[in-house]
Amino acid sequence: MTGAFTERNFFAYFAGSNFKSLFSQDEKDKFRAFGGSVILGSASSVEVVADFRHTHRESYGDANRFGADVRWNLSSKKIMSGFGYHKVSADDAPTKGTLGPLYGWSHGELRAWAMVQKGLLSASLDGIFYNFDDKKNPNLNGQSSIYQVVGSLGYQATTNLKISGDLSYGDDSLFKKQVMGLLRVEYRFTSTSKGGRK
Amino acid sequence: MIRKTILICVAALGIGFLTACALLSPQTSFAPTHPEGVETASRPMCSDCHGTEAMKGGLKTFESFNHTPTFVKNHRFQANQDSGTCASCHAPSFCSDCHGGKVSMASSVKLGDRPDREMPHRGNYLILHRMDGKVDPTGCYKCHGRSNNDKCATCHSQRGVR
Ligand code: HEC
Ligand code: HEC
Ligand code: HEC
Ligand code: HEC
Ligand code: HEC
Repeated sequence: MTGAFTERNFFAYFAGSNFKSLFSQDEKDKFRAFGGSVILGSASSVEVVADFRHTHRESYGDANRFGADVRWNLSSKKIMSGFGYHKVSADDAPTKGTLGPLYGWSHGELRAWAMVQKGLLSASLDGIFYNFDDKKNPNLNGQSSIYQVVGSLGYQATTNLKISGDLSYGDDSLFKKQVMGLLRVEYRFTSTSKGGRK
Repeated sequence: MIRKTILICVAALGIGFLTACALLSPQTSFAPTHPEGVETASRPMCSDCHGTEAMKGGLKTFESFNHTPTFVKNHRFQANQDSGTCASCHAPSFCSDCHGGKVSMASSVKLGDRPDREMPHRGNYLILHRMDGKVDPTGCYKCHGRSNNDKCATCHSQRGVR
C-alpha cells in the first residue's frame, strides 16, 4: 500500500439498566456506563487509540478509565510494537459485603511490547505494570504494585506447525516473585490447501 | 382503534424488515472458506485486495470488514449479523481463545507469543479483577457467570465473596 490516510472515528456507548451483580443475584444495584474512543491513523504504520469510559454504580460510586495505546507496524508488519498507559480513577469503596471502612481502588496500568519476525523465527517481549494508589486496600495484601514480563521465541517449522517457548517473570502479592516457563506446539488443521487458516 | 392500526403497521414493518434482511443476507452466496490465504499474523484490511466495492449479494462493502481497531473492539455487531463471513477465515477455536469458558488456560498464557493480540486479561489477573469486577461487572458477564464458574465460585466462597 502506498501513502497513508488518517481515519477519525468517534464511538459512543451509553447504557442504563438495573443489573444483578454477577455472584449475588439478590443485589439491587443500579449501573450506568458510557465511553468513547478516538482512533487516529488506523491504516498507517502508526496507530493511536485514545479511550475513555465512565461507570457508575450505586453501591461503589463512580469510576473513570482513560488512557491511550500506540501501535507501530514497521516493514509490512514484520516488526510491531506498542505502548499504552491507562488510569483508573475511582471513588473509595468498601470491600465486598461490608459497609466500611472505605479503600481506594484507583490504579495505573502501563504496558509495552514488541514483536519481530525474521524468516521462520519470531521473538517477542511483553511487559505490564500496575500501580495502586491505596496500599492499605486489603485486596492488595500490602503490595501496591504488580508486574509481569513475558519473553517468547518461536520457530515456524512448517506452514502448519509452530514451536515456541515463553519465559515469564512476575511479582504480585498472591504468588510473590515467580518465574514460569512454557513450551508451545501449535498445529493448524486445515481442510483446504488455500485459505482457511486459523 | 387508531392505536390498533398503528400496532398492525409496526408488526407489518417488522416482518418486512426481517424478510429484507433475509433477502439481503450475503451469507448464502459466500464461499465456505476464504479463497486466498490471508497472511495470518496481522489484522487484514479487506480493501487492500477487494477495493471499495460492495460484497456480492449484500449492501455491505468489503471495506466495512477491515480489521481496524474499531472493528476489533466492536466485532460483536458484525459477528452477530455476518457470522458466515467470519467463519470463512476463522475457525471456532480462534473465537474461543477469548470467549472460551471451556478452556481453563488463561488467554494471555496461551497466546504469550502474541503480544499484538487483543486479550480479555493480561498478566496475573487475580488481584486486579477484584477492582475491575467492582467497577463494571456487566462486562465480565459477557464471558463469565453462565457456565464454567467452578474455579471462580470455589475461591469466592472460600474467601466469603459470596
Ligand atoms: C490478500 C488479499 C485479500 C485480503 C486481505 C482479503 N481478501 Fe477476500 N478474497 C481475495 C481473493 C483473491 C478472493 C477470490 C477472488 C474473488 O472472488 O474476488 C477473495 C474472495 C473473497 C470472498 C468471496 C467473494 C465472493 O464474491 O463470493 C469474500 C466474501 C471475501 N473475500 C471477504 C473478505 C473479507 C471480509 C476480508 C477482510 C476481513 C478479505 N476478504 C480480505 C483476497 C483477499
Ligand atoms: C479474510 C479473512 C478474515 C475474515 C473474513 C474475518 N477475519 Fe477476523 N482476522 C483475520 C486475520 C488474518 C486476523 C489476525 C489473526 C492473528 O493476528 O493471528 C483476524 C483477527 C481478528 C480478531 C482479533 C484481533 C486481535 O488482535 O486479537 C477478531 C476479534 C476478529 N478477527 C473477528 C472477526 C469477525 C467477528 C469476523 C466476521 C465479521 C472476521 N473477523 C472476519 C481474518 C479474517
Ligand atoms: C481477542 C479476543 C476476542 C476474540 C479473538 C474474539 N472476541 Fe468476541 N468479544 C471479545 C470481547 C472483549 C467482547 C466484549 C466486547 C464488548 O464489550 O462489546 C466480545 C464480544 C463478542 C460478542 C457479543 C457478546 C455479548 O454478549 O455481547 C459476540 C457475538 C462475539 N464477540 C463473537 C465473536 C466471534 C464470532 C469471534 C470469532 C470470529 C470472536 N468474537 C473473537 C473478545 C474477542
Ligand atoms: C472476552 C471474554 C472475557 C471477558 C469480557 C472477561 N473475561 Fe475473564 N476470562 C476470559 C477467559 C477466556 C479466561 C481464561 C479461561 C478461564 O480461566 O476460565 C478468563 C479468566 C478470568 C479469570 C482467571 C484468571 C487467572 O489468572 O486464572 C478471572 C479472575 C476473570 N477472568 C475475571 C474477569 C472479570 C472480573 C471480568 C470483568 C471485569 C472478566 N473476567 C471479563 C474471558 C473473559
Ligand atoms: C483466588 C481467588 C479468586 C478467584 C479464582 C476468582 N476470584 Fe473473583 N474475587 C476474589 C476476591 C478476593 C474478590 C474481592 C472481594 C472484595 O471486594 O473483598 C473478588 C471479586 C470479584 C468480583 C467483584 C465482586 C464485587 O462486586 O465486589 C467479580 C465480578 C469477580 N470477582 C469475578 C470473578 C470471576 C468471573 C472469576 C473466575 C473467572 C473469579 N472472580 C475468580 C477472589 C477470586
